[in-house]
Amino acid sequence: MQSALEILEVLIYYDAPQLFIARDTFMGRYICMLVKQDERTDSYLCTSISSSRLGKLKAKDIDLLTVYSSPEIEGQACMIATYKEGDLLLNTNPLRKVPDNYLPEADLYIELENTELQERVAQDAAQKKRAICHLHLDPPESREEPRIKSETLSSVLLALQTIVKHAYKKAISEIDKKSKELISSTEFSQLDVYAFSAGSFTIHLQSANKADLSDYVDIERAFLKIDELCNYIGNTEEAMRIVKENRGHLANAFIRFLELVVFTDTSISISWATPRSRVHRTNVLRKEAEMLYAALSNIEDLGVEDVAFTGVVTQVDTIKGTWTILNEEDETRYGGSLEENTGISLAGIVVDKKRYRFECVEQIESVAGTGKEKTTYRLKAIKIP
Amino acid sequence: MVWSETLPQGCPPSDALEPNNMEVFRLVKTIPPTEVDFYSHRKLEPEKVFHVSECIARSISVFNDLSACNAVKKLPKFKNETFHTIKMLLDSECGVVLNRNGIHHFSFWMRDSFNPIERHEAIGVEERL
Repeated sequence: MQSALEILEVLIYYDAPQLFIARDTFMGRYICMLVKQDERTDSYLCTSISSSRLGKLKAKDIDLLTVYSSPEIEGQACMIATYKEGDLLLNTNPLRKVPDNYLPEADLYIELENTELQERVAQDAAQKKRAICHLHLDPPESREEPRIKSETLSSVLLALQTIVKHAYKKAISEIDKKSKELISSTEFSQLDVYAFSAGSFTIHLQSANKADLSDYVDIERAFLKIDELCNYIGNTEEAMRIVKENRGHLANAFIRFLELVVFTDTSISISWATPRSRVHRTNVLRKEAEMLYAALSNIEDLGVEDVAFTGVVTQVDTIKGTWTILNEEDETRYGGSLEENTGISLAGIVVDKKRYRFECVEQIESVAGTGKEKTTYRLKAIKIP
Repeated sequence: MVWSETLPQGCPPSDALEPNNMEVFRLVKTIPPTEVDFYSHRKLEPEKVFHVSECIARSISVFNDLSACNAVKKLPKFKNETFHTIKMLLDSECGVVLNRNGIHHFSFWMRDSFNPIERHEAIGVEERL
């Protein structure tokens, strides 16, 4: 018996569709792989595939060989479809045994893009005149229907906003003080959710701020920084080097982001654009995130960053070794202790009158179960500005 | 514009781009490659009805990522034969490319003046000249 198939999505193309998803007239879904070609006919090895299994294949949780050699349902068979004279027909008689030369080699993982999603991101950025970010989540519960646990949803949004905030701060840390003052308030790195959509579960976010007359949105700096961190997620050694370069709040936020991907089993794809930029896309796959998270967890000082405060000292306790300084740059009071083994002393500090530059070690630690950070400062050098 | 193969009207598509020092990878049967390694499907099989448009059938596939190109070798149609990977550096003199069917996959329409055999570099094998 034969059943007509319609191609839904090409997964691998090389001079011809090599691997694709097709459906029959009863909406049954199959994955089909080119196994033989002659002058008139292409033959494909097909097996039915559920949304859940397709999700795992696209998330690189399983390789292509597993799809064909370990059926989801016991006894589920492989069949041959032929493409001839414009018709793709599935022979529904199952193969008794799949020849070895019809199977792919192990460790063939599929890398995909979603063109439709990317076009929507670009359109929204142009229409709304804002930076647009679509967060495509693949939690286990969304693989059968478009839904997500509310806890996972809130954690992902918090983790994204946190990483954007710190990526933005890191990105502007190098620019001059005057320019920084103009673009350093929290609204510049603020994202708002404006829609949700299916497939698997997609959150649509926009920048709180609109683009300027040249279509520039400041939050672009944060997204470029996040791309820098995520681009090498599959290359643990290179990714670790980049995380180390961004030690402190940003490294800590990135590790928490990876932790979320790993512990909620949720691969995340980030697509973003501004009205003037192309669509950027980064995948944080659970499998790759797991390896990087494990490697980063063994490094102790990633939450440590050097910072400096300049201003008048408002409190000193030479016995306890504690201090408070009013930092001129953000008009905020910072307090802390003394860095051990530096021999530094607070004796002689003039309170409320004289300006100092306090060079400190900032230590960021996550408070378990709250998603919040605890920051401490240890003074390692005192200078007169 | 003179192309290496006769193309239908409106082909290459208007959104195809001229590459600018673009590094691409392709599978070939021999090192050094031969002309046949750069024939489109249409040229290889003039009578066949393809799944894709006539324009795409007259292009060849290249990847802008080595691992994506090498992954193709694991497919049944390729794993049972020997294929080598070559690298080419493309500029506007070579032809035009269009990114479709995958993050790293490009359809490539070659100009008649472009000789890929002269412009390739073998990857991971010693070339026998």
